[in-house]
Amino acid sequence: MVNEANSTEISDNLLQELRRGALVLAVLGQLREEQYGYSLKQRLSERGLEVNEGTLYPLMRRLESQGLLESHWEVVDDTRPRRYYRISPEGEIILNTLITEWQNLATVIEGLLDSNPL
Amino acid sequence: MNTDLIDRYVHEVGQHLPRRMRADVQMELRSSLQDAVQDLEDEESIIAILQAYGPPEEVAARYQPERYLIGPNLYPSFIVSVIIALGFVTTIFALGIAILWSSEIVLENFGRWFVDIGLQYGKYVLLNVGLMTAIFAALERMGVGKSPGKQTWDPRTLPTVTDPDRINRNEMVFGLVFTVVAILVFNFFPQWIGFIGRDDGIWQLFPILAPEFRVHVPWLTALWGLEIVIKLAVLRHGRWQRSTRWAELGLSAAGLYVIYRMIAGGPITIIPFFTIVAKGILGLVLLIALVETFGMAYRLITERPFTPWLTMKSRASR
Repeated sequence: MVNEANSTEISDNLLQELRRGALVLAVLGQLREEQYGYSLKQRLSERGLEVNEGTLYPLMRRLESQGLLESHWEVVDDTRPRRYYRISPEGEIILNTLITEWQNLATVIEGLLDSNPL
Repeated sequence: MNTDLIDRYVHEVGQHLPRRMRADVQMELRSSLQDAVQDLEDEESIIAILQAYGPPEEVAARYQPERYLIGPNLYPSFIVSVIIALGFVTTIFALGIAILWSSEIVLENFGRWFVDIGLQYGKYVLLNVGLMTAIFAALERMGVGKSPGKQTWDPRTLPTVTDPDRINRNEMVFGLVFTVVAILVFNFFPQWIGFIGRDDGIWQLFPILAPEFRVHVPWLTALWGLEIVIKLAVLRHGRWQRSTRWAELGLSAAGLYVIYRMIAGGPITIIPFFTIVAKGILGLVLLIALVETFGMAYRLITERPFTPWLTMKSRASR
């Protein structure tokens, strides 16, 4: 039997899984313009996608290590270093593939959900 | 801006990261946290932001790929290697015990001796498992366990799954005949058990069983007789059932006792060396049978099927 606490945990985990793939798409899409970590977080938040920094920053580093992002450090206010990220040419190619796949998937899922009304 | 909490947090995250990436991650994390708290002065707001980031060890874990001591690709080979190594250690110990028993060394303090052997055995088991773990962990680190990536894979190469409750009639009938022959030979023609050699230029059969072995024959006969009854019942039903499994468990437990008596008893053959070898083999058989009997008892008591999905399938098809 699933109690309320379990149900919340299951639902949180499933939502997290659902958002994980979409988050890569959102990050790559937003980084067509150069951003630093916090500004990207704010940008996503303003557009309705709340992301935990503890998830976002490791993801950016992973995408960079995969060659999909490029980064460089800049010193702001003469004292504070900031890392800026931008999508790489390889990342741009993959982003286009992901966008096409996302759109196809969204159409298919919508169709599936419509044919099985709750 | 109160940076003390941020410093502590960044430091703690770094403690959970590998050295090669620590400084870089810490610098970026500090920079991002400073951006997040730049207009905040009160400690409560900073605490809330750090809590939203998550516990340091969790944040550090997100910066790293999932790590294994022994990954899923190497794990099956690791288990097989451990079983082989343990089998080797067990055989050596079984032979050693048999040699001690057969050499008629007076065991003044049997309990103490038994504990010593047990401790030695435990030590070698741990040593072997530890060694295997270290070897496989090293292989994993060397990247041997990494998935080879996309390659042609044919599901037809998968090993076949056998239903443990289904019987092979021919095999079982052969086993029954063999058991009947064993009963007849051990009871009525024990002199047939021996080896063929030349004596005075004539080929002859030299009996090998020691007279002391006769004491075990009634026990063996009873066991084999019960085995025949159980197997006939299984043959009649066409497959193993819970009742016959329980009977088999009882028989296995009795078998353990008989094997123990043979090891602990007098000589098996008239040639001491053969007795040592025979007792060593019996020691190994005893250990394997012990593990099997406990496994069988556990499955029967907990009502775990011997192969769950096949049991479900056979129930569904009934």
